[in-house]
Amino acid sequence: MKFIDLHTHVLPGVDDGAKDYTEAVAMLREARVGGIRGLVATPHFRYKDDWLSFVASAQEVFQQLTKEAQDQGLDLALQLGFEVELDSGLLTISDFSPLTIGGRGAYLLLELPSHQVPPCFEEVVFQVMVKGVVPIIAHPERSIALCQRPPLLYRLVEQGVLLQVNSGSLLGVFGEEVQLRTWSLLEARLVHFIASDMHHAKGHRGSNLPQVQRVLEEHLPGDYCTMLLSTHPAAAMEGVQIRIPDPLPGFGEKPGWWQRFWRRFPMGRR
Amino acid sequence: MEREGISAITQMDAKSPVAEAYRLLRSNIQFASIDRELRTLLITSASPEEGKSTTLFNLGVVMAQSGKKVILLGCDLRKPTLHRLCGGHNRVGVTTVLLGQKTVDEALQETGVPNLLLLNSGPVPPNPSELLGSAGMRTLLEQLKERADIVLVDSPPVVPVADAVVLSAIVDGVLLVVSAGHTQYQVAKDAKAALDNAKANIIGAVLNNVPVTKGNYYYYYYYYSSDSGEESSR
Repeated sequence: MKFIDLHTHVLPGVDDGAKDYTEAVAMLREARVGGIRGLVATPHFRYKDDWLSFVASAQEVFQQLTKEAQDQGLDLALQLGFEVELDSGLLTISDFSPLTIGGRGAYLLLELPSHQVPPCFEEVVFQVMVKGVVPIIAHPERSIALCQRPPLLYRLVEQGVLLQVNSGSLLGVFGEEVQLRTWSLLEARLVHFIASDMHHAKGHRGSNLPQVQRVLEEHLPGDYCTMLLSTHPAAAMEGVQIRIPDPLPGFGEKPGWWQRFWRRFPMGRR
Repeated sequence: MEREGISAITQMDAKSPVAEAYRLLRSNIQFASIDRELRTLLITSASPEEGKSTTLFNLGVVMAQSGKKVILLGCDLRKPTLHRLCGGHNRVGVTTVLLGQKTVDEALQETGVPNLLLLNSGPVPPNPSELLGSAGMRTLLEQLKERADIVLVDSPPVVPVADAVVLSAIVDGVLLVVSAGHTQYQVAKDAKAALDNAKANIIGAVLNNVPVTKGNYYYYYYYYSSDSGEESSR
């Protein structure tokens, strides 16, 4: 499978991800060794009035990183995007293209705070969509407040908002609660992408998509796994339409006795 | 998300009793518009899931088949469904036009049925009632009237939210869809009262989901309207 990683913090020195080019290249190499063929660098973006200058500086760093990767002979398609933190300041932006994946004006990675669904959330989603851009919500499984409102989640997906979960969440890096939520989201087919959200080359926040593929394929249909890890993120990098599966009911419902049993004895799920 | 759309029953089998019923509805609406010109018609219901959008779509098809230029206008900004019925997508629509992101002509979609165009709802806004009550909405309706003989307006149900009542004030007529054995008596009355309060011109109601059993009117209708022997002998 040609893995595509849509959410990474490889861009050096701009956020809490890679420190320098050495670490960034090490991360890219690790990813390539793991079978990743395409990767989007998505540094954290927090709105400020001169946000365009931040974007410009990130673009410079990205050019340099692309060059270093080429010099190292890494066969990896690289693009720049941003992990945009939800903020009412976004409502003042008239063109989101510079923030979208690959600057193509098609997909925007949007991050929610973990303990609150801010009042401006739906307005921001609307303003993004009305400009023809599809919002991708980064790691919804880590936004407790969002997951506590299953009807809102279903409605968002119905409206064409896409969801990206972290591979680490699936493997239990962020605790059991997050892990269970991630599986429930996947079982309800509410997830459209799995990405690493890697911050470092090694350790629990490194590149781990192949590892995730094995776990996924034990529990979910193979074509859905391929969508999550390869076809959907590839389409997002190209800026083309994504055909999503219809969500299944059941997310956020109280588990039945057999589900509780299954969760207690997950049969090789972790 | 691009959808294939479900073929309208009126398209698949133009001789079916269902298609016949829609044609009857069309002719009744034309008759109702003799005194007062009906160029914009809101199709709504008292409560959810009574068949508003299905009625709207099929009515649109039979109207288009009669040579009229028809635009289906998605004003259910809360739960857009028209693209599921007639194909197309919901990336552009009423909201994108009202916010000045697209022109009317850019946002209109073909439906696969000649003479039938779709202006879908567009991305779901946080403030649907405000948008529908805006001056821009009136302008949009005028623009659509320039491009079609009749505009069929889809909306949310009357009772839970204000949207349909807001729309009823800016259209020429309102058609209420009532589902047999589903719509509660009081809810239907409340819906009519709410529309009357807004001085809406209710031209009539469509009784939907009437059970078709052997021996009733519809059965005979089927019998007589069918011109192929094997169908009528079934």
